[in-house]
Amino acid sequence: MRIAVVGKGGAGKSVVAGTMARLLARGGDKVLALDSDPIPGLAISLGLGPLDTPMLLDAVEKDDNGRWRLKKGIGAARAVQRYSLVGPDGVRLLQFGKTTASGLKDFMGSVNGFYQVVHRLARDDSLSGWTIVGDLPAGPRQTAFDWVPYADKLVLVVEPTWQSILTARRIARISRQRSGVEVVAFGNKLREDGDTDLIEERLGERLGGSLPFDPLVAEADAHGKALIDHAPDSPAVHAIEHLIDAISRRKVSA
Amino acid sequence: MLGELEQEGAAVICDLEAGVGSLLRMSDGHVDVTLAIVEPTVKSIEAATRAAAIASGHGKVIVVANRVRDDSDTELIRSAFPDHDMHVIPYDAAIRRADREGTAPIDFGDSSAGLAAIAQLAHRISRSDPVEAA
Ligand SMILES: Nc1ncnc2c1ncn2[C@@H]1O[C@H](COP(=O)(O)OP(=O)(O)O)[C@@H](O)[C@H]1O
Ligand SMILES: [Mg+2]
Repeated sequence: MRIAVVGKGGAGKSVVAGTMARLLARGGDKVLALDSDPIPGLAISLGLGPLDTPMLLDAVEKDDNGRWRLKKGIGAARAVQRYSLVGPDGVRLLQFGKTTASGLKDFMGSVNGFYQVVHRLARDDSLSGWTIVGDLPAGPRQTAFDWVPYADKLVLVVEPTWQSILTARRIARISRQRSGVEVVAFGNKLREDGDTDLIEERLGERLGGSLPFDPLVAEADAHGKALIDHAPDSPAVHAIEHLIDAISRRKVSA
Repeated sequence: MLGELEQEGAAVICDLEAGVGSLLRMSDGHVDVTLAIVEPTVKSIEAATRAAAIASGHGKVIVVANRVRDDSDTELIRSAFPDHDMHVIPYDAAIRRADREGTAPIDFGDSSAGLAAIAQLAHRISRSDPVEAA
């Protein structure tokens, strides 16, 4: 299963992606977590704390035209094996790096390398047994520009606000143009009766699951901890277990 | 482009995308004040620290602590930005409700604590001479 988590900024993508990755790993999957957001998120939600490292700087070189390419002998499997970081529950994290005060320019090699690695992932047979969970930046841009060629499921995280629903609609429309991708809308931070209807009506999609607003999620983030470590028995963790059940059509929840 | 919009007596307010992408493409002299909005979470503080560092090259930066629920929230943000000008906006359910209805918070019923704090911020910015303050 190869999942990409998308939605508006602040919708809860990183919390959902990080918790899914940990749960799937606990269920016995080999899990690769991919972070292509230059803003901090996934490493924290996985339980690794803030982590800036551009992981693929050593994997790339410039060709004669000054374009970045993966060094000879580095395919997707090698890149994962050599450059990813092993986190809690054995989840492997690969990220292109985080913007610092000097912007992206110090690690453009890593960004380019990352793009090339994700494009080889789907074709690399030695990774076919891996489960992939990708955390994307806010908005539809990376979906439109083909940053998730590996995904067979797109988890669309939507809050019950207009801005969030409009963004989700746009992403859903773009991703439906690709064949072989199943879009699963997932409501987040639901607080009152009618929130599910509100999202479904305006989004024009049924929700494949949802998470209530849960103060424990916010609390975990305030401390920079993974939700699953901070509140393993919270309603939010259970809702994410059910999401995995639903999209994988198998059971990880108790 | 921002520079071309400058006009006596007019205010231009730009809502930027998440992160620092557009900040990086901005050139000097086109902004008087940058408001770095930050929530009391590690992720948000991490992001805002970078944004504030970049924006300080352009002019005055005010750190706006948003969705603040108690003193410990204020403290958390204050300790991350000890040397910055800071403005606090309390958590306000009315703003969330407005978003849910798709209306502007300012048109949404009675004025609330969050909205009052935003009004204060606007007042504070328009009164100060940003160039001098920087
Ligand atoms: N179900 C929830 N209940 C309460 N707070 C939540 C919930 N989901 C996410 N949050 C909070 O919302 C903020 C944004 O979540 P995050 O996963 O970082 O979003 P994104 O990656 O989409 O930008 C965080 O502070 C997080 O704690
Ligand atoms: Mg995120």
